[in-house]
Amino acid sequence: MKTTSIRTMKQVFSKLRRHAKTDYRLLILCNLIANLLVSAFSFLIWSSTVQETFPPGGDSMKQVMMVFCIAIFGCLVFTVYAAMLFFRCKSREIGVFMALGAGKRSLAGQLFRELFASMAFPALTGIILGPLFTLGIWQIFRLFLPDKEGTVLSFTPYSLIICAAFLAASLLLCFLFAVRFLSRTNILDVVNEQRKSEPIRDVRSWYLPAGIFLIVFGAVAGYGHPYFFETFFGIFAPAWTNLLYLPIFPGIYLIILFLVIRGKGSRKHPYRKIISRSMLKFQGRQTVNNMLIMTLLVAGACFAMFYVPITASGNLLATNAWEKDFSMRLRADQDMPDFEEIGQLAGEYRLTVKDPAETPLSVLGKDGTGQDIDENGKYIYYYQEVIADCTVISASGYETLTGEHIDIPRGTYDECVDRDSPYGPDTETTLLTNMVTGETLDVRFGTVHYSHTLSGLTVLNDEDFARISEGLDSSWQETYVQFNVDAPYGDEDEYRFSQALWNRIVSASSGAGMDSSFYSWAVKIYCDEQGETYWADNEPVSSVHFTQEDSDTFQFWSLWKYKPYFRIMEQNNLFMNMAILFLTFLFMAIVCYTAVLIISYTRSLTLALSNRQVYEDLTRLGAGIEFRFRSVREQLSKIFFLPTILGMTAITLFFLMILFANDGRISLSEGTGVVVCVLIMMVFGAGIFLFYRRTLKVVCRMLGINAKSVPEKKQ
Amino acid sequence: MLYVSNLHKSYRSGSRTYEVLKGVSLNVDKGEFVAVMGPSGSGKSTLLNCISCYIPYESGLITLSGEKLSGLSGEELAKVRNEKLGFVFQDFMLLDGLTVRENILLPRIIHGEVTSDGERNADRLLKLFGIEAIRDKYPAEISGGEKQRTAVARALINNPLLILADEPTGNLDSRSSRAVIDSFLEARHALDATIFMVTHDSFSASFCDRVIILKDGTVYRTLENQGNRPDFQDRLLDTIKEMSGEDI
Repeated sequence: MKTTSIRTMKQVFSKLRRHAKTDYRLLILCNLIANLLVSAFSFLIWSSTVQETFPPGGDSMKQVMMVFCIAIFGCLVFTVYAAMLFFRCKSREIGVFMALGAGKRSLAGQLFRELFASMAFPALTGIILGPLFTLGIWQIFRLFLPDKEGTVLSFTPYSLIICAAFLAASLLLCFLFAVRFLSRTNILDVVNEQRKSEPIRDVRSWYLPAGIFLIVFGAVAGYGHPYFFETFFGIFAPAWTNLLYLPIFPGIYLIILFLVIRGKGSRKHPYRKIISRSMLKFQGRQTVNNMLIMTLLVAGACFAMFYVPITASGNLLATNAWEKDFSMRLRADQDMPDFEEIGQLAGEYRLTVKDPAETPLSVLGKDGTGQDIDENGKYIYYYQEVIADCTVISASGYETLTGEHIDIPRGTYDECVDRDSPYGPDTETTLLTNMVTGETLDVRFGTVHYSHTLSGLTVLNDEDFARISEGLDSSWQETYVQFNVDAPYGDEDEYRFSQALWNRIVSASSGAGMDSSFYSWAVKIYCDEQGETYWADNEPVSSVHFTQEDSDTFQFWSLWKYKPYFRIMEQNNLFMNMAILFLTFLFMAIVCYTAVLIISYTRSLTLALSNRQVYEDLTRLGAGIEFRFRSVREQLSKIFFLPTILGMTAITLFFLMILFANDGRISLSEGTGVVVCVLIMMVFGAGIFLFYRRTLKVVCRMLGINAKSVPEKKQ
Repeated sequence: MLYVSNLHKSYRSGSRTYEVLKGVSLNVDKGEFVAVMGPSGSGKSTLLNCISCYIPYESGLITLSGEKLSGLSGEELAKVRNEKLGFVFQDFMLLDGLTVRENILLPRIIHGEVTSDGERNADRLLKLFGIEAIRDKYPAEISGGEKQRTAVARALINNPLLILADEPTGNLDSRSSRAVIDSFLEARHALDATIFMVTHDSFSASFCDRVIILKDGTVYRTLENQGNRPDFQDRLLDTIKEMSGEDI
């Protein structure tokens, strides 16, 4: 009988490859997914659309980059684990080759070729598919956006460098592990790789409290240290002090170690979980390391997903609480619409203007204490007669807008504050200056009036207002306009009207009318008079003064000093403006989440491979299917759920700490955001649970446990 | 053929060191069928693994057909394993993705490209060990005895100087064990093979010319087969009993 025979090692590897498709499939899939996610994510982050949304160096960008780094790390870890699992699966084969006299050099050549083919080609495919993936998701998002023109996603080639660096790093790491794998002198170690255990030392009872202490210490020290440095040393906390967050990691490690190895013993059935716990113990080091990374990734995914709900739910609640449908500050020196024009425009959109009210505002300079940092990083505090703009309204003007009569004694000022804002009233102003005449007014703080739309305005006694405003030219004067509308034919008319009015105001704005909210002409004049340079003049012009071309950007929307507040537009545009943020953070969450799933899957398979012999022995010793199934389930549930619970708990506590530390309370909007976050975590958890069930089936199949024969209620 | 002198090997576990071989010396002549017996932990598998060059050892001398193995590089040792040694393992070590015939040809493939001579040799071994009918089957489709006979054929494909067998009947029932021992005897008879076998099984060992009994990492006794197999097996059992009695 003649058959086609194999004659070369290349043919042998090729045939073995066909036989062990599953091992290769996992490596290929992991590389494809890792590179696709990294590529999709970096193309999104470095797209000009996102770069314009997040100010460089801003907190949001820092957060994005932090989670991006965690996500990249997660992808790198699961790529390397997939490669290590691949070596583990190949170890018997390679060991047999070595035992039969194959040289390491020729084996290395074959293994490297296989590794390269299984990593590089899927990786390149992933890199190519990444931007398409991003674009696809973005296009789906755009279907829901009201403004499709202003949200075109454009890519920059910079992200390719990130993709190439990631690919190079993952290839390098996997090849280093391959070299280590082949360089062992003991061939039996290679052959028995699949059965290798990693025992860890005994875990003491103090690990749990010590872990909790380290986490709390790291969170408090990390978050609170800037305040500590400022209060006690009077200096700006140096960058290295961020290392104070580090105790969190050994803290999580100790807790996982404790829960995996010791766990909560049952007094009634002390030996019930002895098998599963022992198995985990002898895979301890790798398992706990994996779980630590998974915890970080779960926390990263949750952090990413929390950002938008916390922001969006706050904004939505805030806009609902606005006192009027439309309110705006219109500069007196520019051709802004009056009520007649507004009424006409409203008529074009089948609307009727209701409850119109307007009142003059004056822009003054106010004094205060400034804070700066010297060359040694030490805080310097200095008094300045004009430290910021102060937009003032008279008490009668306040009554015109709100219908509330207030009495303000002369020489006193009241502050309008948004109840939900983390910023309190400015109580330290003592001097107001008319920047045209140089006239000043000594003042002291009176009280607070809560208002969403008037927030930021300072209220003066009518006489004080008239005296200090005297001589101001139109560039220092504004009109506060507010009204409601009656929209008998639906919200669409109101939205289109709001867009038309917005465009009318933007097109009439120029010069100082296009300033960013942090630019103060009062301070600018004061600094010029003192012969000093105004710090805002050192900022890039594009971030301080906008142009008509910027009017579609997110930055303009968030930072324009004279942004009108149109409730319908704010609500409709919230999704659009949040879309870029949402998509970016959603991507981060997807990357972290995928990494969690893949790491837990590869870890579970490793567990099955390592313990195959143990399960065969257990079967020989008479262990029934239920017993074996339960021991697998106990191990897998720890791998899947412990990091999930720890990560979610840690990030929730961290968020609550931040929210509470902002203003010493958790506001209604923040509370709503937290509820949304809890719902998101439940969805996350459900996804992980479903994946766990799937993995449990795969592992049971590998170990020859027919899960179907286990009664449903015991599964 | 094989010469082992004053071989020492120890393992480390944590901070403790366990000396497994404490100066083992032995020799195996060409065409001889030699077994090593001993209780668990006596060092017999470690001895075989050292001779196989699978694990490094601390001191001592191993020569194969006059060639010293201790000074050889990794690549040279691989060459020795491929050309001069043949291996039979307790758990067969066949590759699941290759057929019986391909598994037998594997050492030849590792050596270089397979020639027609090599293929003819494989077919001859298939016939010799009665596994011709399963030549195109995969390991998962054949019995334990057939797997081990395949492994014996694989060990012989490169005409090695020495076959090293580690508990070759350890995973087999008595019928299959007998078939494997028969294949060793056949290999010695037909191919003039030299066989060095580690075993727990006195029945299998009783077919050998000589049995070296190890105890606590040293050679306890060497027994020669006088030609009467049942008698030799009784002597082996008596010696093991005597050794166990000393322990008591």
